[in-house]
Amino acid sequence: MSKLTKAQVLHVGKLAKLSLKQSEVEKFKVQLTSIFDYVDSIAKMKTQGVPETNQVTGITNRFRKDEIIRDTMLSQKEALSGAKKTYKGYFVIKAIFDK
Amino acid sequence: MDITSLTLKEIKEALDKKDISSYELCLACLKRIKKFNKNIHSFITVREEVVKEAKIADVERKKGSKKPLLGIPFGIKDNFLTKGIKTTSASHVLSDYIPQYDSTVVSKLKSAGALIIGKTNLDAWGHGSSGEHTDYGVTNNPYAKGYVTGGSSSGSAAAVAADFCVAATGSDTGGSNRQPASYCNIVGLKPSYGRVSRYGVIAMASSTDCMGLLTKTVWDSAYILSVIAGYDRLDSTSKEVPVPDYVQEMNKPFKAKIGVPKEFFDGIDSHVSKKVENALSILEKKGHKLVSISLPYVAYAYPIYAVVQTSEVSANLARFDGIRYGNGREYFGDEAKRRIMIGTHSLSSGYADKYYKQAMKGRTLLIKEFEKAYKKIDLIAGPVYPFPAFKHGERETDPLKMYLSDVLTVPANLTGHPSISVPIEFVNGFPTGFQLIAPHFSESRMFKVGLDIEQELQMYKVKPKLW
Repeated sequence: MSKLTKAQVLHVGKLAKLSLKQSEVEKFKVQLTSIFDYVDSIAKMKTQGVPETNQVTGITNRFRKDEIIRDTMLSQKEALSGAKKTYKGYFVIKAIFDK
Repeated sequence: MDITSLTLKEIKEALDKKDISSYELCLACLKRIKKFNKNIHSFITVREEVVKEAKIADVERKKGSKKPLLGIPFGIKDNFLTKGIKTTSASHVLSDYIPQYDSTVVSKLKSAGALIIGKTNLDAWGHGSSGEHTDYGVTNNPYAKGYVTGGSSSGSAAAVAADFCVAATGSDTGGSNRQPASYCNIVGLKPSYGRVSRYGVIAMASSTDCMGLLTKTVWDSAYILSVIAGYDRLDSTSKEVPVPDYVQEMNKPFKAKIGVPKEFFDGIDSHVSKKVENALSILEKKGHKLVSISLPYVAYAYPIYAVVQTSEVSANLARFDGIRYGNGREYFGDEAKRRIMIGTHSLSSGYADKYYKQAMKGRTLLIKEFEKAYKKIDLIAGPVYPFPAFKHGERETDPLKMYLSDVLTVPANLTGHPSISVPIEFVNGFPTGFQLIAPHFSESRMFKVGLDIEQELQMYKVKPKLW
């Protein structure tokens, strides 16, 4: 039984940059516990020595020439067109350092 | 005759014979949308300007243009980027997002002359099997008021079933095209992984996302796939496999050896399995051979998928920070938060071996099992959903119960095999689908066998009574 604690839910929320309300923490604790209970069945698969699959059609590293593809390039104006806050052609982000 | 009820094939013939114009067709579709969409909720954005574009297409046709989809109105799932047209992914996070470029599928459709009549509703970000996890009004099943359409391509399926458009695009990460197609009496296609470019579609689980179609018939699906398939340098996981003329391929004689896995019938609603068995006997009568097979790892497919998919979701949704476009992460709905958290936990230090890595190894075993089966058979067949369409709200309260809707569709996403849902007889008044899964890049086989069912049952002639 994979019982998730309140602290684990808060930890995961922090890692994923989700600010959770108290009521959400309680709700997700119960729901995630039930889902991981079910998921735990994968432990029964005999996977010793089995490689992991992350690409299903046999494509491995794909390279291309290091050149600019102009037809998919956005202009500065286009790139900024969706931003709520801009400053002199830059995106404005929240301050990272404390004063 | 109502021209909106015609299939793509019939519309193309009528356009060629000048019996109808694109303008008339688009106008008739818009009229239908205006009358019924308020109850169906299949569109998030409707484009009235499509009629002007249709007039231009009609002029082009007069001049002799042979573009394969000239003047045909399409619904585009709202997670496919469309230049200059709002793209929300059915989430408030992207309530005001106007893309600067088109997804490859959309630009291929446009080059083929297709028109965009609107952007269709979905379970936000593709997260769901019912169409209920949307911030833009739950989609109603055109065949059954108050019942789910299936998801996540809920709006695309409902719009095609309701004759609001001729065909629609959909993304299938764990069954999102086949499921709503099954509940809405239309054809849902998930091509092979890498067959159609993923570029410009808001990523859900990058290793299982497949761009496909919701259409009225198998012919329509095969015809449009030839337009949208192919290698794209903008998607490094798309593959350089030649794109055949699927319609031509489909009409070549072919008798298949069809594997019927017993695991696909474990715990299935008895009415659903009865209809699927009827479809299998139709195929047998038409000269296909049925072979009982066993795929024991299918029992693990859903839990493997739950880990792989949510892990990739948590990574893909990390980019939504409200800085470059859209709103902040506080706008995520419950379902997205839940999946992000399941994935983050599965990938986190101390749990990655137990969940993520174990799931990735299990995925290898599942693929091997399918590949071994394909040495003896040409196709795999079974149901799409384990039960008929359910009422709104019935499964929403218990996420695990909802997730288990996907048990029969996720195997093909994990293995990357192409799969299709073809309509079969209704179960107590509710549409039902029949699923075929083929080896990599063997879409033609599914079209051929699917066509045999379609020609026998002709379910596309059964239309919903809208309200």
